[in-house]
Amino acid sequence: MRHTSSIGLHLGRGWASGVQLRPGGRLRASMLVETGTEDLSEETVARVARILDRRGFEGRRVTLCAPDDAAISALLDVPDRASGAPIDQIVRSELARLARAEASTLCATSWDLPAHARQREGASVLGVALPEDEGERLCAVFECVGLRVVAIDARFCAVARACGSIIQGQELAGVVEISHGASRVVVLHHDTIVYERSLPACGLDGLVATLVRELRTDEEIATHLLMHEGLCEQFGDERDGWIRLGTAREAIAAWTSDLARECETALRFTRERYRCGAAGVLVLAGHGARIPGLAEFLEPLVETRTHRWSPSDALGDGAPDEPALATALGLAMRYD
Amino acid sequence: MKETINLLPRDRLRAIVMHRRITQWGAAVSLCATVVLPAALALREGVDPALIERARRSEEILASLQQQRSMLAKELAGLQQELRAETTLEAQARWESLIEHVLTLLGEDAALERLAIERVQSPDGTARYHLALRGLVREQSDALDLTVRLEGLGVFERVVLEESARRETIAGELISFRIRATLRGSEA
Repeated sequence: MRHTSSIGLHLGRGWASGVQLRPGGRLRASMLVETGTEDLSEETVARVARILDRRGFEGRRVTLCAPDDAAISALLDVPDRASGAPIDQIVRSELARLARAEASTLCATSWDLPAHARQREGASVLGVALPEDEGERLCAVFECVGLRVVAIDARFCAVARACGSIIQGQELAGVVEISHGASRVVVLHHDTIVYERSLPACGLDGLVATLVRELRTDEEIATHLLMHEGLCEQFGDERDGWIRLGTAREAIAAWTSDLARECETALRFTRERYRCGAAGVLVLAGHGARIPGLAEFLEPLVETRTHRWSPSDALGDGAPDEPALATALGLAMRYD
Repeated sequence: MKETINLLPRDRLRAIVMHRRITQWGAAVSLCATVVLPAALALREGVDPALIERARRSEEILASLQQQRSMLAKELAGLQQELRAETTLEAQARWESLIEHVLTLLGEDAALERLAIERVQSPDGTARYHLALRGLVREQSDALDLTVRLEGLGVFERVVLEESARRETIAGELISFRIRATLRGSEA
């Protein structure tokens, strides 16, 4: 790439992350800050814009991802493109029907999926849409603080792009992004995203709430236990004797088992749909990928090699070891 | 991974694409002015005079073609305006003029089975007019081509190829098509 990328910016639930790349795919700047708010207000965006300036980001062009609660995606069966049928219109209408919205109000797109084993006629596509007014609202909020939105991507596409170096060339591979509001599982067949699902029950916030309840403690301590002790069984110090750590571990293990079940279901569905072999790798990204011992605990449950993603997988040595940058990095890697 | 999508509102996306094209065009013009032109001028000193004369004539022909093109474009714009005026409903559309244009577009390669002007009442009380065409063409691409040509007329807000399928006829296997074209600004 000949130019510096736009700023890949992801404003999630309570967190903001940003990445910008130099020509050639080297890291120019990155940031991960706690905003403490779910509300995408002008004030929050202005604060993030000031941080971008301080952290050495260049230019005012930003690439965002569609908000989780507004984006619509679905696997759709459509007529063959060779038939001349208006596929784009069909996709938009189908997504509008699912979202109970007016088709003309959606900005929709889709890509063709490989033919699956039971497909006799027609084609399958993965359609993604965002209501135009939601897109306008996003652009307007950023424009108010002098940032120009050049693209809005689907979050799962951005995460899969960031993990590209690990999953490239695999017949079947999975990516799980574990974040605060929900986890997201994405399945790729020969480098094409063929399945995507959001798992609101497997978000970190739900797990923290469970820990608060089980341990009768506050949110700060519960978050600390989750992100620092996690699923580790042996510490080699006094922590090995703490009973409450055992209780926390049980709750985290139960949550991880639920997540594993969802991942396994997604991978099995795709394996049967395309009659292909087992997944080559399951990549863990997002805030939750930092939970100590998670990858090791998950691997036997999903019976697939599990890899904890880090920006250095895509950018080489020297990149910050922060799996929560996956979405922002994937957005920057578009080079809009 | 091949999926690079952009869910920006359509108007904004169009503006970005246009901006990108203008930037690229500007860069190309700058390149010509700073590199290609001086190099061409430098080379010209050692070039055969006959070649220079041929280049001059080519430039003249190109200029005349461009002039003709702009005249034709003006003429086309006038015709489109005329056609639009004739199809506005306040003026009680002169359908024969529109149908004549459509039949000219069909040419000899398409056989028309049905041509109808349908009035559809929207729930909000406004009426829209659709031109419904049904017929036969030789190839799938002919049906698509016809759709594009109808769009090119400039009087339709939307032209949709609703159906195109193979059909056995006495003349062999042909493609039957169904096209619906919505007239621009056809609220009653």
